[in-house]
Amino acid sequence: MATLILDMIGPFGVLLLAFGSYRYDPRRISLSIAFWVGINFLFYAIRFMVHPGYGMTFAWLLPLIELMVTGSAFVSIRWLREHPSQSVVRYYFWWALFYAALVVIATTQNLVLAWLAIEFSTLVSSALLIELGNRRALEAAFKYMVIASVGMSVALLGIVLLYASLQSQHLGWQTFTYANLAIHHQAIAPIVRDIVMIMMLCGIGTKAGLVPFHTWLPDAHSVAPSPISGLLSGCLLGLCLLVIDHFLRAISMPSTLFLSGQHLLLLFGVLSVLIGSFALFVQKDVKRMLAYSSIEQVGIMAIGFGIGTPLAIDAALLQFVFHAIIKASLFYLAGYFSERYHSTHLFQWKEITKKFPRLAILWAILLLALAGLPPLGLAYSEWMLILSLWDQQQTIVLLALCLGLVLSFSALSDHLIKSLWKTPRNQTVDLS
Amino acid sequence: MDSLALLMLISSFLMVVVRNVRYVLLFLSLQGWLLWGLLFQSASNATEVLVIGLLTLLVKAFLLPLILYRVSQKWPSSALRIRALPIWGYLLGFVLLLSISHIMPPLQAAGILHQQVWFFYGLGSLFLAYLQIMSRKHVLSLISAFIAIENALVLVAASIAGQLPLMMEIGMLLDLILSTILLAWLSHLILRRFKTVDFTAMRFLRR
Repeated sequence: MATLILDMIGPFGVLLLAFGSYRYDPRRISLSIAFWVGINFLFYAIRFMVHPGYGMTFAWLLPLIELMVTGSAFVSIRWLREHPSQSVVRYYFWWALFYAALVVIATTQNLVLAWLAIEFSTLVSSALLIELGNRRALEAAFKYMVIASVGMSVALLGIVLLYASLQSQHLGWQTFTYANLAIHHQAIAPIVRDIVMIMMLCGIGTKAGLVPFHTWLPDAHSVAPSPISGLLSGCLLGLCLLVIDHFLRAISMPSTLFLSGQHLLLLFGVLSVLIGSFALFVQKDVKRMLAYSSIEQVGIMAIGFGIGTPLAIDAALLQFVFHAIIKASLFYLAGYFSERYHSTHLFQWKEITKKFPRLAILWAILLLALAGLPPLGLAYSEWMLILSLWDQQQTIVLLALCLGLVLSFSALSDHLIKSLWKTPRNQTVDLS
Repeated sequence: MDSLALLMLISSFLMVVVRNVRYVLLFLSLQGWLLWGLLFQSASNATEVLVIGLLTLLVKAFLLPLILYRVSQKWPSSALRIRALPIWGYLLGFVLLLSISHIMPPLQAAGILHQQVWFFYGLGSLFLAYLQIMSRKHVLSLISAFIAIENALVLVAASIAGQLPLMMEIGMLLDLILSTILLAWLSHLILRRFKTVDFTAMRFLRR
């Protein structure tokens, strides 16, 4: 708990600085917040380099989150300048709470605390949507809050059943630590364990954006401010999946039901990959396209966790890291271009290679990285996953994954070519 | 005390079928009172019961219904009306209640059902709250259903675990308060921007 409180210094500092904008120039406050978060990132990065295994299962997770949040803080400066009607204090208030929720989800070893933090992240990120106040944002926020909260209520029912099974330990809050669950999970009746696993998977899977619980995701991620979309897509989805994985690994045993735990994760993973990659083809709104790509990427991670071998889990974790960095950067860039062209419509971005040559190159590299072009990061983790599927002789899943990867590569390449070189209809091509 | 749990189920049913938002809020407040009574019955630790009981009463019987009532006060009377529940809603509700009898035996065999009657009423209330989410399109009715889900979960928890850890109960209550405040703010903005409280209509009006 002491470590958790220390980790909260970052968000707390942001809150304090945010309230300073009542007295000082909001632009300076934004800059101070970005530097404050950057210092936090440096601290965690150095601590990770000095003590790589410090205090948690995945010690790299916190520096990664801090890196993502730092990126979001710097992008927020520009975003707030472009949206002068947005109250700076309120924006950073919700932003800091969202940051805090991400840190708790990444660091906690307690299932209930993770549940609370995920639910809290839904609320504060919805508040950022509500702050926008336009019709699309309000509709997306309502859908997001209702669907995600209903999903989380299913997970809560699972937690209650879990507590009922382990209540005889009289450990109270500590019943839900992953270490305790791993030691005592045999005390849970198999049928209860299977039901709890299904509930947790469907419940937290809703927040992770797994198909068929994904319907809120494209709306919410595409409407949210770009600095928040990056965090939602890049960090939060993967973190929710990590919570599912922690839980499944803690209580996993040979299952009595066919569709439970890892099986279900594989099924949802395959569905997410296929639906996500098919949907990529028809998207014209760039942020929606990135949101559907997130569904596909979460599906790939779910397949990795579902297989459960060390190679597959490493592949899923690598996928999470690469996806977080690439997707967040793409959302930030998409936000920038959208502001410049006053449109999120991909085909309205005319002549970006001429107007923003350097950013266009970056956009192309990131989009190709997301498509899985070797030797960029995601190609490596996807190759590892294919290898582990081959080892486990999961032929159907392997074929589905390969189909999904080919489809998403084609769709993203097509969108990239159109966004970079498509000639506007009202202009003629100068061939001289 | 089984009658209190039965009243929970009845109030959940009435929340689904009534056609005015004000009545929905009335039944929501009633659920807060019922839960307060049930918590005292089920729990063993006196101090924790006192804390949770008082918080439940304050939040679920007064604060949350009051917040939603304040929102509804600013609305015209036409915005308070709810459409009739379709026939499939009644049928689905009936099937969901019947399904509980199939869910209970394996849990009973696993030895985690302390209060079978409460569990039946609790799970019934939960299913009816989910039905309300599925069948209702009125924004405030959906928000009430969301709170009713939480209320039903407390009853289910009381029937199988007696009492949840204090930190968990407080966390759930805080979550509920924050979500209700945000949803109330959201519903207020929705009526202002869309001139409708029908969630499905928003999809067509959003652009």
